[in-house]
Amino acid sequence: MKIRARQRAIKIDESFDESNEVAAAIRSLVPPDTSMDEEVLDRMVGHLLSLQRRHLHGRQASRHHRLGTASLAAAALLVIAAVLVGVIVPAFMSGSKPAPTRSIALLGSLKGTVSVKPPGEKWQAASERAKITAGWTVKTGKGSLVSVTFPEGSIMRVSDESEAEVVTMTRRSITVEHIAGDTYHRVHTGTRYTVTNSGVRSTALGTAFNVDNRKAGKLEILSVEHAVEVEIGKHQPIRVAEGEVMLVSLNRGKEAVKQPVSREQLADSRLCANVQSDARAGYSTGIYGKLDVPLASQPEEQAPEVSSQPIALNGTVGDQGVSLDWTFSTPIKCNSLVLLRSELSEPEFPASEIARYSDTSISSAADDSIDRGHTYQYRLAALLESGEVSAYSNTVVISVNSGPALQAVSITLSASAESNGITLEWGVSGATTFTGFVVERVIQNAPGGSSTPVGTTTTKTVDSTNVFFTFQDNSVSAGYSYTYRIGLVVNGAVVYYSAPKTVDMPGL
Amino acid sequence: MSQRRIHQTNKRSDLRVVPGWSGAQIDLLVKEALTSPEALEKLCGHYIPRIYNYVLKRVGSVQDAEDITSMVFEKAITNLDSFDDSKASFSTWIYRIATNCITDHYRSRGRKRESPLEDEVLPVTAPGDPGLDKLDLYLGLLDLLQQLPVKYREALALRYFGHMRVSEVAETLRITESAASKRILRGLEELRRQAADGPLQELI
Repeated sequence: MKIRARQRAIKIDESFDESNEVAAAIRSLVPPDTSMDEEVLDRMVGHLLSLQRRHLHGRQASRHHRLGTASLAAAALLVIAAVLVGVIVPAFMSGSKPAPTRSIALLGSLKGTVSVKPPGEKWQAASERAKITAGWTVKTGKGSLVSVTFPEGSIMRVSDESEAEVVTMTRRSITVEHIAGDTYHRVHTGTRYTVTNSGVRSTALGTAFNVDNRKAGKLEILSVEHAVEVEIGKHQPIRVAEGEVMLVSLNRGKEAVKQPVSREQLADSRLCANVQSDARAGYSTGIYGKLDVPLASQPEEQAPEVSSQPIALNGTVGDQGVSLDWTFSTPIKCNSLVLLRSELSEPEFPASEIARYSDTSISSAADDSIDRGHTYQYRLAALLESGEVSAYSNTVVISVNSGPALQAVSITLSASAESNGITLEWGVSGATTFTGFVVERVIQNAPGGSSTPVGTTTTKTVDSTNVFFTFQDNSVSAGYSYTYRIGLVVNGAVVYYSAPKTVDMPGL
Repeated sequence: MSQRRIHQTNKRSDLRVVPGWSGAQIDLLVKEALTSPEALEKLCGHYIPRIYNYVLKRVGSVQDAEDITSMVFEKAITNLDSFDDSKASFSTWIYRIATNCITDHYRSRGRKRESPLEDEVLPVTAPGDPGLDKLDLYLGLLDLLQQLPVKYREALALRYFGHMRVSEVAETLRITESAASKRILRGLEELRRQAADGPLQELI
């Protein structure tokens, strides 16, 4: 009060610093006001309103109950502090080392042994609500798991014996290097979220997907909700839609096959546990909900390996219907085979029977009574003479597109000369119902006196439904130029050709 | 610094500022903000853009400015029931919190302002402006300010970054107007000395 009275007594002329050169210099340099990013402002106001609610709740509780005043306030403040520290307070609060960005992710749902590794430092034990930022790696031990909540709302769930590095983390873009095991990603709408592994990039905008490289040399990308774009090397991205899985072979060259997810894959306990966590948080369960695959009663402990089925069933959809083929991995006693089909639940014998084969050596079948826009589940049952089922195959889920089978098909082809031949790599996008490829080669240039003149054309059929394929042409000679193109085969006919690529084989 | 990105200034003019509020209206809003989400939202809409701009000019990084602004309002909300409008206006109070948060921010970083990285933008000029030099000078000014004693630094910041009248500077720093004007002038003099032989010398 005294000070205020004195303030009124001595009035300073506001222009007292007008002629000061330093003041003028500062004024000339100070930038004009700018607007805060609207999204940030909205999020901030939302956070403050939530803080107000918690603060108010804490005060009311203490007023009504009297006891527990300190604990309630402390709890509210702890929650607030955790939210602030984890989501908003910049990295400078966490240590003296300046981080490359100010964004911080929080560890949560921690179970078992979880370690984190800051860039250039040693592994250290992690605790619940520990903070990590870009450049940090997270690793889980046997039977352990942890979730990483990014500041913009995306969540990565790291399963047991898995490892992933948060490479970059900004407000709208996150890049994760999947190093080992399983990582499940629930991507916030609007965030560009990329998971990389061995040159394979899986990118999503608002979706849920799982990445798994537990099998040596294999990478599996499974889309649980919406879609993921998978980019292999420099090839055009391939869309993996909800309920599809892409298997990329990382060994010799890179090959990839995209197929509908099987019920066995969906029954993976690690995946189920992650989707359950999503469901508890109010997210959609994607393909699980659509196929009515149960999520409950999945063991929370270490996932057992999925037992191999005695009958391996594969299915593809084409213009003429669904083609199915199967193989027996172990000898099975049976008198007949029964093909089962259903739409809403897993097909069961005898309710879902659509065909019966008394010749048990049959290994393929076609189903042409399908309707576009429907999703079918197929299973093969082996029957004993008594009519009992001795074995079931895996379940194959086939979605029949509502549009034409082939839309905006494209094949990206690359060709390179190597010491032992010419390597072709191609990727297909826009087609899922093809049955193979034709590799066409034309001699473009030949040395003088060659026995195989220019224009000689050779074709080779490749029976594969891989959407990414590597092919080695060893029957090439030095000094020749070859032009290649890849034809996409559907039901025995080439329906689309890639743009040609010409490669020169260096002379001797 | 190579990753610096210059934003257009005022590219969106739809600030959530409610113009023309009287001191009494703000006092009422502050009281209501204790319990009413609508009042709190209005209060935030009025003050967040101001505090954000003040902080941004002090720290030179959008991301830091957003983080610090959030921290300022979190502190304000958790201490709103202890705010006494007979001792200071809400504006003074919130700027005081902001000033303390900025001090803490620099203290935690050893007084060093970090170079703005990608996504951490100081909106000094519009693209195409010969503004990179100006930005360098401004960042140099921030570094010089950090070398000043706290009392001068805060007075200068409130006056030139917060665009405050002397009376407001005085109230925020809890000193008399006369002392505030003296701090500002001495701060300017100190700044001139610090700028000698540096890139800012020519300008100053």
